Amino acid sequence: MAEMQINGVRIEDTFAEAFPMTYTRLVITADTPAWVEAATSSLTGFATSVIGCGCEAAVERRLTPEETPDSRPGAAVMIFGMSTGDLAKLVVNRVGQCIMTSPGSACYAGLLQGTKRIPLGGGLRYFGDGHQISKKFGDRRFWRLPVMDGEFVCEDSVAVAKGIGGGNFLILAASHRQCLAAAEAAVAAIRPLPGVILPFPGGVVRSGSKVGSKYKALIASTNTRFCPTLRAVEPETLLAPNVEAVLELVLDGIDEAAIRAGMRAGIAAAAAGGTAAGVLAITAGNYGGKLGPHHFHLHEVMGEVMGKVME
Amino acid sequence: MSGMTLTFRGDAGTAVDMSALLPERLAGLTADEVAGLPLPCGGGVATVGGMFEVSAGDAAEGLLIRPGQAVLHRVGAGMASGRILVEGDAASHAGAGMSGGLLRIAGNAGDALGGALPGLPLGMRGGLISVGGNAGDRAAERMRRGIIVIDGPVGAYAGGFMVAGTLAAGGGCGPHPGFGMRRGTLLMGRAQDEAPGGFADGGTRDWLFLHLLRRALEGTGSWFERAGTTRAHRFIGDLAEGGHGEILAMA
Repeated sequence: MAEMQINGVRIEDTFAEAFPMTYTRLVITADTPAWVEAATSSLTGFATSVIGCGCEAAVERRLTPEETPDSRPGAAVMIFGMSTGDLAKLVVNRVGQCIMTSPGSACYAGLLQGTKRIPLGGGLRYFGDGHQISKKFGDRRFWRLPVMDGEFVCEDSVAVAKGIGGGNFLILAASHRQCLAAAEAAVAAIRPLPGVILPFPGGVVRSGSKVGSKYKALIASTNTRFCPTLRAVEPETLLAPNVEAVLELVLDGIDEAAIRAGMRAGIAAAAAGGTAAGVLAITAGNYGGKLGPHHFHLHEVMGEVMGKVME
Repeated sequence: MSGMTLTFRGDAGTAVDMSALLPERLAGLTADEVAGLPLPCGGGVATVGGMFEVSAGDAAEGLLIRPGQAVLHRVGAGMASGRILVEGDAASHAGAGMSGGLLRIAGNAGDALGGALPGLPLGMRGGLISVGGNAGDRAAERMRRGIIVIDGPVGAYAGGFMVAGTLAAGGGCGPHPGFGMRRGTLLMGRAQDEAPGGFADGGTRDWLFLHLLRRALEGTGSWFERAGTTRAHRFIGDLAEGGHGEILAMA
């Protein structure tokens, strides 16, 4: 079996298993970058996993005033859900509670073409209590809702499209501190890339899960095979004795190319310091190929940037 | 502008009804075919070729009209798509009942710009009209949707009985702006100290949606594209019609 290493860091011969999701993109603007941050932090809060949150969301990238419809600072936010119906409910609720409430904010469609459209201002306009105003410029309709600091401007609707959720890789390191440093480097490498988001806190997840539980009420539970504290009692452990901590990066993207680019950049950054930085191996999470149709084999993903391949 | 060019060669002062000469109707026709079309003018009917020199080209790519000394009524009236550029003045009802496309008038426009054609309940329903000069009375009358931007002043009753849409008059408006206005926006490039009749003073502030209007007008070279501010004095009205319309006077 071929073995792959990057700076001495072993790249396991396995694959990340991802599944289809539905996504949309919003453009949020405000008077200052700080208020953009306030609005988007709220919008993307409690949106790490569809399992418990209903959706997965994060800022895709910051936007300059030249890039936004109203010439103010902004951010592109991507929100992933399991279906168009789910997304329709979640997005309008989140925009209503997190963007409309944020001082000086505005919300625009960041995805104009897609499979369907879901409401934004078209659902929120009734908050205007009859004083809402519709403006249609070109093909785009906007709503102006009177609020206490002036007007909340919100696009009527936004398109949704098919995306991919659950791209991932895991960093196995000799210490928690070194694992965290490698994960941070991976996050920093992925975040500038277009079309991909990291929905977990700081872009990193430490509580990876497996399907099922000893408790009937739970559909998922801690991934015991990657828990270093259970190594001695978990017969199927995947951790070598020198692994002290494991952190995972989960990627949602607009297509396979975006996920693959994100994984490639993240793994390369995580392994950049090599074993000297305490990173021992990179692996990925899958369910044997039975759950999702999108398989990202680490050796294929990293093939283009491989420093050396040893047979 | 590429496409077809119509250059007037009739007698000065001849009145012509241009409502049949729309890009979507002329698309795919040759210059000879267009020249043979009947054209109401001067109280009778002539042919397009009798009144205009018709260049080769496809009107689907755009229609350039050089009016010379003609009085061209209903230019672009009822237009649904495509582009018309008038290198000169247009007379009454230019863009009346228009539902899409771009009508650019480099000179002045007459009365009822973007308004309703006689007998019809609504005026312009979509598209963009850009006028480099002035416009006459009743601009945007009963307008339902779309944008009209005029660099100069407009006459009386601008936005009268307006239902929705945006009229932006850089040079301000004549008497009774927004008379009977139900909804929509009448934007004036000049300050207005007192509320027009039927309107309530809504105060002065920066209007975020005007950034969106500016983006929509990019490439027109219009006055509002060049305006450096979105701060405007708002008047709400016509209160006799529910008070959901607005006149915005740039501060």
